Amino acid sequence: MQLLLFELEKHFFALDSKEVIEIIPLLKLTSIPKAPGYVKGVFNYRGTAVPVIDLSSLIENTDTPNILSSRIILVNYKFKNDKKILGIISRRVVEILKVDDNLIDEVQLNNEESKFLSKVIKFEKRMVHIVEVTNLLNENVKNLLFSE
Amino acid sequence: MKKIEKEIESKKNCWTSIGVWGDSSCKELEKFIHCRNCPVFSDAGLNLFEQEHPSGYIDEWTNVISKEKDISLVDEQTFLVFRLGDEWFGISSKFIFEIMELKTVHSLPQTKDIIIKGIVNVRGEIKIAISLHDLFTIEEQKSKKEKTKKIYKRMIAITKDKNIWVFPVDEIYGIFKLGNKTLSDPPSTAKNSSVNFIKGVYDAETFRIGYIDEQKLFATIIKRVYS
Repeated sequence: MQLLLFELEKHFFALDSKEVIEIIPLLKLTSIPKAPGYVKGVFNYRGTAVPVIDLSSLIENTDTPNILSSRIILVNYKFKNDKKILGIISRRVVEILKVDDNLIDEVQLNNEESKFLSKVIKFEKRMVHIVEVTNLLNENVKNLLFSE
Repeated sequence: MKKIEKEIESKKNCWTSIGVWGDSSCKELEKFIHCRNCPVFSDAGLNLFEQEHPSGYIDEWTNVISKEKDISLVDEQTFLVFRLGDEWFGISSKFIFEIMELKTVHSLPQTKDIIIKGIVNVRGEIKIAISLHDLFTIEEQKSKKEKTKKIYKRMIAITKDKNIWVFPVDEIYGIFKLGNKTLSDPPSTAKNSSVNFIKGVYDAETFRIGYIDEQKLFATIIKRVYS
């Protein structure tokens, strides 16, 4: 498995590189009314409106700083039977890891809201959480962001 | 994070003082061999991005990302520019196998053709070394620029249909994109025979580059080396 590694305030996280479309700088976002705080807004991605969430805000309750190392990772997001695009704000997106699938541990998380962090891998003394994009948003937020 | 920052602060620009760009006295070099493998150097690089956006940066990118991707750029042809004597030439990048330091060419006995210089070791394999200088009738000579900056002669390995040939050049300039520029016709009068191998001239503003016709070049090499 090939993982895209990035950092938030305190920990390392990774995304399956197969899900990643493009990594772009921070952009001007238009806010979405009634959306939770971690949904930072929407922007025009080559003619398509793409919602953006701040992973640091979702996981660690602190907004990602507005600096050059903060990036938007665009990932494929499956909503019902449609292919959508989701933007994830993260920091220091600088490394690709190639890891053996057998090294990935499953963590039992009772909290439904944290289900997207149930996979963990130990890599060179670093504990890396693998963010599962499909479990990232709850039903309400999904409908708010992707329903037509 | 703060620990790294402190470490970088304490070793500020250590790569230019005790590192490979300094006196190479750093003990860590035994482990990392080169500063670029050292975490202090890479963290200093990463820290360059730990600053606010320049003015207009976000607006510019928002505008770029909102537009359709220009896929014509993806197919853009590139070519390697090198110098023989005083003349600049370009050859399509897809025929480049490798650019190497000058290597010893072991001459072959009883080779009648002047363009065949001998054999050379390319990654453990024996390849034929040719001379584009002789093929184009250009003398190996130093250009005026060599007085002001250090120029390194190199060898270029070109490949076609799994065959590899190597030839020395007086300087490698770099990779150019052909883009929307069209090649102008080669000059009808020239001092040497390179004009026979050029399909057009690329105007690089400060100098002109003869774009090599690969079909003619490879056909000539095959004919003269193997017949």
